[in-house]
Amino acid sequence: MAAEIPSARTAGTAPVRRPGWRERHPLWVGDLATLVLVLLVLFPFFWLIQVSLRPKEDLFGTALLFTPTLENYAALWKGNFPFSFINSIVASTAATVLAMLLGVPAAYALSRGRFRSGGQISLWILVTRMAPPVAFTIPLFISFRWLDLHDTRIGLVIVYLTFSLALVIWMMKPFFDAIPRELEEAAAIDGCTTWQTFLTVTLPLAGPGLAATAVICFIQSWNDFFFALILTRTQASTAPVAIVGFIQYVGWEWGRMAAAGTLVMMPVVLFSIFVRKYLVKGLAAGSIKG
Amino acid sequence: MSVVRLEHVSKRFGDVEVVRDVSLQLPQGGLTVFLGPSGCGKTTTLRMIAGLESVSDGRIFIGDQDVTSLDPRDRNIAMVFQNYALYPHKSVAENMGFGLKIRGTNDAEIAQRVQAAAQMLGLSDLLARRPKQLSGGQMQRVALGRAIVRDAEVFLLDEPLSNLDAKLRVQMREEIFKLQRRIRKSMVYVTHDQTEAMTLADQIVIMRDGRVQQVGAPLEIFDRPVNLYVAGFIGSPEMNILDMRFDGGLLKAGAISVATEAVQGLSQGQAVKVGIRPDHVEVVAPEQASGTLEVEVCENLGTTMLLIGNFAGQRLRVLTTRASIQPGGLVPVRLPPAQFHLFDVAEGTRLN
Repeated sequence: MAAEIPSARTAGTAPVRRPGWRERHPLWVGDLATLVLVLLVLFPFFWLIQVSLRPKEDLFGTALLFTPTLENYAALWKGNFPFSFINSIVASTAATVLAMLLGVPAAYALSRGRFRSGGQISLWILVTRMAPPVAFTIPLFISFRWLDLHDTRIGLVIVYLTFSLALVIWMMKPFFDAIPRELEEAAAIDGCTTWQTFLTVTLPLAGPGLAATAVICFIQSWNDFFFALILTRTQASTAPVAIVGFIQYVGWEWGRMAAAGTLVMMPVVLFSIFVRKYLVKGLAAGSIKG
Repeated sequence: MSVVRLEHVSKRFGDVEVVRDVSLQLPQGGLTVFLGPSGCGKTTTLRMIAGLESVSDGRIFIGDQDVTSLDPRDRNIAMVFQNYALYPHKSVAENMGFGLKIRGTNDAEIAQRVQAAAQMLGLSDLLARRPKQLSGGQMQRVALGRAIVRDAEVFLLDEPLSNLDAKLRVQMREEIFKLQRRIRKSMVYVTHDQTEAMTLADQIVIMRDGRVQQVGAPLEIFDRPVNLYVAGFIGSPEMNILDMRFDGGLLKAGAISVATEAVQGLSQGQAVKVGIRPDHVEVVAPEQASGTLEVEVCENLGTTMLLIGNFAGQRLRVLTTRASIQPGGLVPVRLPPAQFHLFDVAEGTRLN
């Protein structure tokens, strides 16, 4: 990129402008700045992981060399944390699967269907995401009490679903918009029903979009702290809520907190690494076409 | 016997009527070309035959069956799209065999029929490739292959050659011609290119503003265009249209008069539009000439030469053999009355 800029300037067609930052400084300055930024951003993560591996007596030691131990993780395993962790997995997975099952066909319908006020329907779906979540707390809490959904996994799934669904619909619609209609028409002539067309032609082509959407959807539910805190107590409490439980009258259990934090972070990091290629492609496609 | 029949078919998008009262019969085993400028309704008509657009009014029959409200998959048709519409996630073989697979044909037969079609189209070496690994011409062949693998009754081709470069277009045109003569299937072919229409068609349907202007064999349309629009649309270089007046067995324009046989229904003093093709205007010796052309532009086309100039105050194009004529020169020309196409001034309909 840096090599292209001077040639564009010598071409003489571009209006005269001040040379950009990249042109006035050697490349390594930018590289160094990037490195510093990356370290700054990643520092808390590395710090958290190393704390989780330190022995109890030396949790906040500054020595870089120490004997790593899994005793914090072992302590977690004996408590209630595994139960909360499973709650998190179940609620997030169920919400993601349901949101995809309901949202993907909805996005497809909004992309392809020719019906009155299609644009308005899309807008109203987005509107559900505009109010701050806090605004829903009290109504949700009261209705969940009435419906006996308080402190249940199903209740959590329902709440996550309401937020994920809008996300899925709005993320998937541009992907479907980008698939040429002629492909579906060709499939219709080849003998497909509407559903066969959708399943054999449209959906495989929207694959990267599906992966990106599912991951973002999962991460959103997985990272939720607020609703889990309000709407659960003991039976359905999720991992992020359980971490707060380690702050007690008798003291703060830093070791277990760090270990639990690391465990909660892992699925998100792994997912993101695995689907990184799709994620970038997916987000870029969505942003340009949308 | 007709394979496709349209009866008073219309199509409206909201208030816009894009196809108006089209009635047509397309011959069995023949190649019918829908020809017209963009926006004339030819593609919409094709898509209605395919079942990709609903019909606002009228009926469509394929064979003896009324297909007006049937889904595309129940119409026994195959279609080649302008942008080929190959499935990007399937190989060439899977693309070609998809229609058979979805209809439950067994794998052995699919493989055999795909092989046969691939051989016919010279695709045998490319069967494992994906569409994006193919050139434009190869993609075009695969699209054709996908159509012929299915033993459809009617083939619909929507501007199949418009995405190819000029040389490849001529080559594929030949191949489509040979293919159609070989498999003897009924084809409907949409194009705006009159050369494709003239070279390929058994029957041409010329459309304009959603209406059918003329239906006929290529030479029939070329020799006897039914109205001014068709006369101007078919033929290259374009037909000359001269404003003349009918006066006592003569057609007159300014100082020029040409003897012509009587035309029924033509009254004395009536103004007419006279069409004559540039290659029918003769460059002659001065004593035989109907008038003189003041040459303004000479276009050398190699074997022939196109002269464009002023003829009694009107624009005239003359296609002649190569000669040393310069702009500004005066050329005596003769308009042979036998080659005249006479059209009504107001309606544009043919008079002779």
